[in-house]
Amino acid sequence: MSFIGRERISSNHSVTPQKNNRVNNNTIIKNELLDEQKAEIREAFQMFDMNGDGCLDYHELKVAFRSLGFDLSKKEVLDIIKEYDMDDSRLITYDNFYKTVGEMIIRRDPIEEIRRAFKLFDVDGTGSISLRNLRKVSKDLGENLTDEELQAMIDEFDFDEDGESTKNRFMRDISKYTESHKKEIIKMKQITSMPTFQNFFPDKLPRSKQKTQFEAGIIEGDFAYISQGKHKGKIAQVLNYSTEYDTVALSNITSQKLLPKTFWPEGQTSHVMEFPDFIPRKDIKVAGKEKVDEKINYIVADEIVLKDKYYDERYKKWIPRRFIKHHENIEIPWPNPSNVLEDNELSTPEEIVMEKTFEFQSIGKSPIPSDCLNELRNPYSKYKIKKLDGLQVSKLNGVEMPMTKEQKIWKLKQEEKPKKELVPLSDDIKEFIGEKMANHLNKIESPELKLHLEHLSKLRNRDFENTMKKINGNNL
Amino acid sequence: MVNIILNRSISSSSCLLARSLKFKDLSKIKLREPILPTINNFEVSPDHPLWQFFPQGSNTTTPIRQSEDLDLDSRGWTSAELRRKSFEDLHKIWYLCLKERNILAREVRTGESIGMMDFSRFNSIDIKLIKTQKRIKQVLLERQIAYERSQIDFTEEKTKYLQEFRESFLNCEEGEFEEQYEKLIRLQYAFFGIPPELKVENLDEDITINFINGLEYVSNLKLERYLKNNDVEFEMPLNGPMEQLPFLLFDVEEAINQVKTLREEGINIKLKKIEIIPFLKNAITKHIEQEEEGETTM
Repeated sequence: MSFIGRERISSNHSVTPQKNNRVNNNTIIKNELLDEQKAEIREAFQMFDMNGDGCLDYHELKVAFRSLGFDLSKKEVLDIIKEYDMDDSRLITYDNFYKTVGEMIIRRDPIEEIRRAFKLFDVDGTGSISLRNLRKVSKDLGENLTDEELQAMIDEFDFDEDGESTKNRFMRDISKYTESHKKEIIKMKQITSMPTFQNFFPDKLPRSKQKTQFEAGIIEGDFAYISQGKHKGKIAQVLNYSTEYDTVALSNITSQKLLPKTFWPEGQTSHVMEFPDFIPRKDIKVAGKEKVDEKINYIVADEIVLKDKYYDERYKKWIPRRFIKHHENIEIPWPNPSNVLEDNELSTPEEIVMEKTFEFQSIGKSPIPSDCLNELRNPYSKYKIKKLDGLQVSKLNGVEMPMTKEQKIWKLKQEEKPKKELVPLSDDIKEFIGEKMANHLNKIESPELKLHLEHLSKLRNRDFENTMKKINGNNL
Repeated sequence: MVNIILNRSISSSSCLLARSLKFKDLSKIKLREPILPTINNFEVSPDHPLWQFFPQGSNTTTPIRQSEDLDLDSRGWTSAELRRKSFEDLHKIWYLCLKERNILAREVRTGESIGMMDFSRFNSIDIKLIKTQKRIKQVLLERQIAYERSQIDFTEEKTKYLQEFRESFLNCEEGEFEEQYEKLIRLQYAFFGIPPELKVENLDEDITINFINGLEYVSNLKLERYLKNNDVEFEMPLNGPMEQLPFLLFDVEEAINQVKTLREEGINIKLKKIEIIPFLKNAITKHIEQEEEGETTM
């Protein structure tokens, strides 16, 4: 399949100079596309190449585009095919597909991408992704994701930790702005998303996997030994540990980087800046510094163990002690913090914080005002026991309609009539009825009819029972 | 038709006014300098409410704080710290957080409009504030749940304790009475939610079914103790909250006198269930107002 593709592209080279331009672009694509994205493109192509001839026709191409997140109109798709179609086969090869899609991916606005991802997941249109939504999507896609995987996906987006990923509080909703305003905002965003500034930061860790400095076991002021990469073997001081990227910045290991203007520190005059490298945590090892007889020794810990929490005055925190694994008599103490924590603008004095102003004193009265409850619990929760007040009850039951003239007359007439009285039968009458019935039954000869009558006599007749009850009740 | 319209328009008063305002001599008219719409030409009073959107109020000098000026080191309140605080304190902390978040949001919006891109530091403070707010809600909900569970879990213990206290209160020596009486005041708040000092503004929340039960328990207890130690003729039992209330508000002696007069006048009607709460509210507010008047005249 790929062989055919390559052959075609070589023929493209010679035909038009315009296509040459695109081949040049190809190098940029190679540099900037992430490996995942490349794999994604390849997968999409293979998946939709139904007949396996290494080419996509119009329908296949359109679906492939959609699977990659591009909704193109019929005309746009036809244009793309026409552009690459040399022999009127109306097909597109893998290499051409790769180039067009690669360009589109690079051109794609990351903010727009987030929004698109949201739209895909947000089935009930609430603006946030809950577990329920995700499950629906994964069902639609036919992928068997477990709940843990789904939760991990949510955690990755989750900023405000309420279990649902919502857009950042400080992110504006561009679609709500006027046209001119929109243009301005997009322009502003594009200033920093120039290709030269991309990949400035390493990939972010999902929030669920981020670790604090103390959990990671490395903190500003520590010494680190670099065990892998270009600077292997060096020992340097840690300038900072980034929880988002799981990387450290080390002193004197820097390189010149292009810095967008918005990130310039004061006094900066050019885009080029000496900036510390982002070195992944797995490439370094924590080192302890020791002074013996005016000689400085470093002890490099292959792995560290964190245990025995204690309260550190310097950091004003409960933190674990740090030991070398398998040599747990050797402790690597945490370095002194660079800036001593002092009371700041937002800090509350200790005595006010520690002052106790609440105690449970009564079980006769709720400790919080009743108006406050609706803020704590969902007043519209389906699990809430609802109490109807008098007005609501009367509304539910409805008003009794007044009677019409005819109904009143009928009612009066009914009242005038003497009431029916139920009296038990006298013995004479009972005997008379019994005699008559016996005579009648004796005349019957057919056994079927007898059987039928037998059965009938055994059946319960509720009306009869009720009437009998009434009669007996009256008597009593 | 046209004439009519014309007549109307001429006769209108605005037309007459316009005629009288005709400029006769343009050189005599003096115009003042136009006021430029710049910040320097506006005067905003320092206590304008919108200043609360600025970190130092009216003394703020910059529209957006630099990251050095932000307090990035402070941490949020922990749940353990918040659990020690009364509802009023939590309410204050909540609003302080909200105000600080408003300031941050205002700064971020201003920053966006002038092309700043990186708000991660503002966001990091905001996250701490949000967490504090969520913890406040959590702590309050914990209290509410504890209260609700106590309603079910404590019923047996409650009746048992009330019985025990009744015996010790009735049988205590004269010397211990003061102590027992203070205990009773605490008890009526702990079990029935009757606060030691009644306030008019809290009455709506205070007077519940629990309050009425408490009133019955307390008044009977006081009366029994009094009758046991003194030789006074009094017809038991007390007839509903109307006769019980004086024992909560006054000394036992005075309460007995009041109930006696009530009985003589024949206005000690037994109230219907629906009338009890409004009656108590009315009576207690009247009593509190009278006391306040008495204090002011003193």
